[in-house]
Amino acid sequence: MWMQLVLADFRERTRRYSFLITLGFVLFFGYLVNTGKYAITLGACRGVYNSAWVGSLMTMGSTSLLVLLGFFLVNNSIKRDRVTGVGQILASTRMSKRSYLWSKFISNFLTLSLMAAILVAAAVVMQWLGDSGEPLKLWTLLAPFLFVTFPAVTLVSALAVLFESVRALRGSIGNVLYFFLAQSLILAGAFAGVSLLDITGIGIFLPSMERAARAAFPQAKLGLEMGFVGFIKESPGTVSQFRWEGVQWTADIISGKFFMLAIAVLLIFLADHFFKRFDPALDVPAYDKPLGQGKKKWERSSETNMKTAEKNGSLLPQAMPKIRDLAVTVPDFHFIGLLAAELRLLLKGYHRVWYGLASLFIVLQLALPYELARAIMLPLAWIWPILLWSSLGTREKRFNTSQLLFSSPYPVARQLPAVWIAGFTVTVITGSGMMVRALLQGDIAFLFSLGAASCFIPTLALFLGISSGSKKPFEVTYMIIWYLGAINRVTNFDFMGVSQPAIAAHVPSAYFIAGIILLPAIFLIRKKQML
Amino acid sequence: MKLEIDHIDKCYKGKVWALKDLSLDIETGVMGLLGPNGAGKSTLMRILATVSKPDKGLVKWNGVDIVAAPDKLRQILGYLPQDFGVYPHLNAFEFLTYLAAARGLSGPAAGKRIRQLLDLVNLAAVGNRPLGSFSGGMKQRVGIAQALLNDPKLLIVDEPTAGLDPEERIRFRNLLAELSGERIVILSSHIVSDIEAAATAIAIIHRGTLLFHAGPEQLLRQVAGKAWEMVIPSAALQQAKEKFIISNTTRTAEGVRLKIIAAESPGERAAVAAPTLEDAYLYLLSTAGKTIPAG
Repeated sequence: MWMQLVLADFRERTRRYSFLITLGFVLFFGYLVNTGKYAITLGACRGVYNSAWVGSLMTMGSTSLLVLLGFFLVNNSIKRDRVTGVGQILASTRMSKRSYLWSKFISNFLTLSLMAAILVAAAVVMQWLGDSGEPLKLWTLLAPFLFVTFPAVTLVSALAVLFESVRALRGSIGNVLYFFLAQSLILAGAFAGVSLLDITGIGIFLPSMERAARAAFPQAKLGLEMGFVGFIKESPGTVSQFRWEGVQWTADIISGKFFMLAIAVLLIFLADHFFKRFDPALDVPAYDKPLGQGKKKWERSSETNMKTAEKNGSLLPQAMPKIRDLAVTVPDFHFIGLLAAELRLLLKGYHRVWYGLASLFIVLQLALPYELARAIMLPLAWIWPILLWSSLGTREKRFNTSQLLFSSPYPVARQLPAVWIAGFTVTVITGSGMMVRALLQGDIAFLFSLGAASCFIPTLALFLGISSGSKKPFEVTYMIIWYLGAINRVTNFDFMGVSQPAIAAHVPSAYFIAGIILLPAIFLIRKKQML
Repeated sequence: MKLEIDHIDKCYKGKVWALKDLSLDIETGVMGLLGPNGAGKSTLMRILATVSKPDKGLVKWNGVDIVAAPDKLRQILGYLPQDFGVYPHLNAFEFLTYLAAARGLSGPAAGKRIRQLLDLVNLAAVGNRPLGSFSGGMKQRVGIAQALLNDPKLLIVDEPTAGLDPEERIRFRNLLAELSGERIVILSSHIVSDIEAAATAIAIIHRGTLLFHAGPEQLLRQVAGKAWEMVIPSAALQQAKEKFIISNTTRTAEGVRLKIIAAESPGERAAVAAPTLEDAYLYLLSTAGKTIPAG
């Protein structure tokens, strides 16, 4: 029975557009590697494009992609069963929790592995037909995928099941936490020497590559640079080439990968502990969960209201108001009223700690030394509202309110600008401390960058939200741009202007212009969705 | 007030015809729209509510084409879709205020009307509870309230009693009766008794085409002399089901009492019975595709 579930789930996923889009990204990535547009250099050296170099480079890059993006592709399988009601049907069958979770894990693994397998096939074809002049060595090319990519997707598949099973990790909070977890895993394995957690294999390949480079060029300075040539990393100029024949796959390395598989198995057992088998009584949403022994304010007042109504007889049919006696409303549209309603909707439903920290970030932007506030507090302040931004444009589909709103007068001309301005307002408020500092400092170029970013963020959120109907595309895209630009200071991604070179290169202006281009697209997409 | 539907077609992907060459004129009063699942009722409702567009044909409200100029109609429209959601973190009052703002209704009068509407749908006492904690029936009542926010001249309600308990259902029927004044109410349902209680006119749709449109009396006339009652032994029930259109089955001490729709007497012991709208509806569906005499 569970095998049928795996197959049904696998078919469902691989027939989705999101699968094809991610597959497109992965294949495009393979093409970039083979054409030298995605490269690794060690200082001014790199390996010749033989099977070992191409296989390892593709493995490191594609595994990073699958670890970072693959998770978001597969962590919706249990959610789909919950939303469609299929989960409750399955819960009423003899299928155990453990079988269900294992079937989801296998389906996740098959989906991600299929992508990796297609990339492997593409790598073989490209290496075979390529003009590098190097012979195709099949095992040398395939071994890195086998020993690095497949254990990595196993771990990602298990993490996706765990995140879907733990209520607190479902949805946006889980997405953000996973992003940071994946980053930490990649960094810890690659550069902190934690070889057991080396999920992308960088810690395996890099020392071996460095030894080969050192043997060929003893005097060369070898610093790892990996990325898209001319975008993330600068064009390398003259590069010396050395020959590298790949990694010796020792028992130590392979047993380390078995450790990763063991962790994956443990994660499924852990998920089994948290998974509530779609029981609504055990799986209650946050707004319905009693706080300790006490009752929420609305619960107390609802009970009081009900008792009062019963006592004074206002629940009896004859006490109900007549239609003809209701207050008469005359259409009198006020944009401010709609904006206030959109803001209330945007800000409602978060814990008071969220608001407290958002306020603290504003205060710290004002209080800390200027450069420190710019480098640390601004990026923090502008990742914190990610859950708010990602709801822009998605609510109508997520909560199925589109028919109610689309049958209102002028839904595109009135509602959409109100949604955008609500998002813009939140962005400006959360970054207001830095804006005031830039103004007082006379740093007009930075102030403009902040303004440009304040326009870009809600525009990107609304564009991705409306086109997909899901929060995930914005959350993933924004986290990647934010991580590369605001944290790692990669100039072309620094849309906030955290670093001076980004402002000098007019990067925030470029993002502002991208936003201007996206705006009409937002209106067109919504208009098309309506009819 | 007049809503004219003129030869509309709607075809979904995969060449699935939801509506085919459907024409219908609707005037003041409550029009009940009946039809089996998949007949095209909800598609028609969505088109009338300006949420969807016909592929061909015209829909006019008081002579104005609502496909070309939907916002005119939207100002006086109240719409309760068959399937809709709510924002779980807002309470009922906040949710209705939000929808009122989207419809250009604000100020103290809107606030007062929202409170009165909550009273009307029996939710005033729980108006400050997050909607995420509401049952299906309570959400349905919020849906009914939002459809009445702007005192609509055209009210479209698609399966409004779905999820309501019997008491609330009766309450909604009374509400509909009260609403049928100077406005057009279009009530879609596959529950004939809901339509029976309120409708001043009935339209029956089957496979995207109009099967019947007239008053309830004309619909009953379709089946006059064709409703029969007879008691048969329980063992013969299966055989009778295969042979006749049965609109009702009741267990009695003597056996099973059947209500059968048939042009001629189904048996010696059969007696003519008073037909109901349900009988007429079943009769029309069973003869769909054959020529039906005009009511």
